Amino acid sequence: MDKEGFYSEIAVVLQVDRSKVSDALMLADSGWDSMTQVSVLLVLDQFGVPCVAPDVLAKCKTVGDLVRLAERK
Amino acid sequence: MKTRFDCCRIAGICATVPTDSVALDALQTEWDPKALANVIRMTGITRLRVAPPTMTASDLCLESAKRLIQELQLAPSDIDAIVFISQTPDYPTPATSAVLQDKLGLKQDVVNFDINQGCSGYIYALLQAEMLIHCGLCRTVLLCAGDTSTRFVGARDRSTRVVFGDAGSATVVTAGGNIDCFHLKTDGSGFREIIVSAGAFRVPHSPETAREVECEDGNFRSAEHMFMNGKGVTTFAMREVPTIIEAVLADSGMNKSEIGLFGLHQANRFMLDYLARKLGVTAEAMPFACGEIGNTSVASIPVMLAAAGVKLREQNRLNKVVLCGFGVGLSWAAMTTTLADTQILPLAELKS
Repeated sequence: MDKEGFYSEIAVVLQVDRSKVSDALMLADSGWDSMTQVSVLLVLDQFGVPCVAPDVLAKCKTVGDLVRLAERK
Repeated sequence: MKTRFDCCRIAGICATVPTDSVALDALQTEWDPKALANVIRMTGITRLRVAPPTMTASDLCLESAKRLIQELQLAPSDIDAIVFISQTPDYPTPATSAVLQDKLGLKQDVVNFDINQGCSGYIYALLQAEMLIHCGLCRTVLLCAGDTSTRFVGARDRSTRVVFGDAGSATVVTAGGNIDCFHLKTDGSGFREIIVSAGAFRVPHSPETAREVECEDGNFRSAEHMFMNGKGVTTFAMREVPTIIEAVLADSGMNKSEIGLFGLHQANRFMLDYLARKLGVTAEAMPFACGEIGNTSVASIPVMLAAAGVKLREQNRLNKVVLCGFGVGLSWAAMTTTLADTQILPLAELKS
């Protein structure tokens, strides 16, 4: 997976500087609301992980959790 | 379900929005400004058209119908059927199409009925018109598609308050020779994804159903307000919309490169951007034209056509067109058609 590309897209969605995005970044600290989660669903689809169940996404706590989802394809 | 007709043409389209509107920026006093700015950025919606309390969807459709009938130089007696497609009728009964028959001075010898469909409803409406013409019963069908969805929206529900607007439209379909392909699908297991769960007959109105409560998602709404599971609806659209568009194109014998316009239900900008990327089409071919109107449910496709029609015609995008509606039900439908000879009137406004 293009991890750098994924981090960049996540930075746009979370509206944070790219330099702040790492696996350790807590989603709850970055405006992790339903609109953001919807946007992440689209990013995950872009990276080859379509149709992530909303409850699976809701369990993610960190950007690292999102990366693991994306790498699961 | 799929079918094809070769006996109709879409003669004209007109759409009307209320003059009254709400700028989403104005909600900064109620909600976190940063979160609101994020929503506006993602949805592309900056303003919502809101019908005043005395204005209904049928009023907006009536205004559209009058303008369209005049533009097409039709006599009321020319219209053989009137179909009203809406989730916000004037009355629980009678059908609003009957009320419109009278207001438009149509002949009594006319077919009238209402269809309760939302986001996919415009495609259903066109299918219905073509079925009526194909069977030989009608030569000219008037479709009135509109909704005042803002009436269902809870003022303290961030998931819906910033999305929905009001509009009404009229479309005339006549006997002709265009070839239109339709694909339609339903998944009723998803009926709860977009729902107003009380106020009809399954759960009648009561003081309890009218009471706003704080919900799991942190929003406040009553059972008589619309609930929309944004994540569920997004997943559904991502999964189904590209598939149905590819399928209807395959049946039509056309390929994507020939299509000038993918006229999709105007859910929000980020959804359409995603779908355009997924299908490999440009944003110009899949316009989001409702940023200052909102998601107008069944009327969103005709509203987009009215708002962007001049530009689309200048860009020569109306010869081969895909239209696709998706959402509440869950219901989704797509068609291929041509709007090359369709009179598309500029978007109108209706004052209270």
